[in-house]
Amino acid sequence: MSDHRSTFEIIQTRRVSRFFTDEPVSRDNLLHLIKAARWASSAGNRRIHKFVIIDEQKSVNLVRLVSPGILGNPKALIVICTDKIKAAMEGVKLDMDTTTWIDVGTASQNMMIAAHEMGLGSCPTTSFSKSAVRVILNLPDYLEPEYILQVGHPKEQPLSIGKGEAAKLPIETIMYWGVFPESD
Amino acid sequence: MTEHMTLTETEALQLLAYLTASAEITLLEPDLYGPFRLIDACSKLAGHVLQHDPGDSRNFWEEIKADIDLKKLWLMSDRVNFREFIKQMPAIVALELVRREAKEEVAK
Repeated sequence: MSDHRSTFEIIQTRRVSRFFTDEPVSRDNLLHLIKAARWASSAGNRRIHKFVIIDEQKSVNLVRLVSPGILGNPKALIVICTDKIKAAMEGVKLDMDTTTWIDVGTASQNMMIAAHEMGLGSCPTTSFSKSAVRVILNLPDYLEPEYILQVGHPKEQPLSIGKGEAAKLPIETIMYWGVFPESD
Repeated sequence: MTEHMTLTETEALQLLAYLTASAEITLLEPDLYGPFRLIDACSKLAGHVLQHDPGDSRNFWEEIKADIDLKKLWLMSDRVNFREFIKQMPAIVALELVRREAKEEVAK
């Protein structure tokens, strides 16, 4: 599973995969991704998110129908849900606290990096109907679907989608050193 | 105008699911995603038509689907050309409408 690439190399070579082969993703691999998410940083170590893994193709296809952000044919989906009961126990104000979204991001990034390390492709998805996904997955009221990670074995991505756009951004265009000078 | 079966009721329901979900999420998405979702729905519609027998129109539907599936992704890599593509698509469809109208006139 592991290789000799440095962490930075794995980060640098990861790309979003929107199109996948028909090869299924093993449950061991999916479990490995959840373990990676479990090690993600979490605001105040509150851990208010739950992970719903869908690898039965019938359910994957139903979620696809109400998720315009899923352009290809992922073999598995990991739905990150906010556990509203846990959030209330932790005193989190979900309508105001943006750190809950950061926690979705850190968990997602850990999973995408771990997927890439294993040779899997992944794609973050926020363009889906929450109300429809709730019905399809029969989610209890206390779980709010926030985000879907598509997972599969990547196949060659269409050229028109663009490749490595981030690498084309000169580093000086995205950073500043130190304190900004006062303007006149 | 050829009158072939183009959609089963189940396929129409699947398209309805996609369109209603798109209507919901485009409330929040950047403006350019509206045209993207609509053109992607056009690709899905063409896909359904091709699942059946579009008769001698097959080439038209195949070409339009291939063109959309290639160029819709420019949203992520080339927005200038994505906008141009969206502007040109209705003209391509209109050409097919005119071609068929003329063909029917000849047939009368």
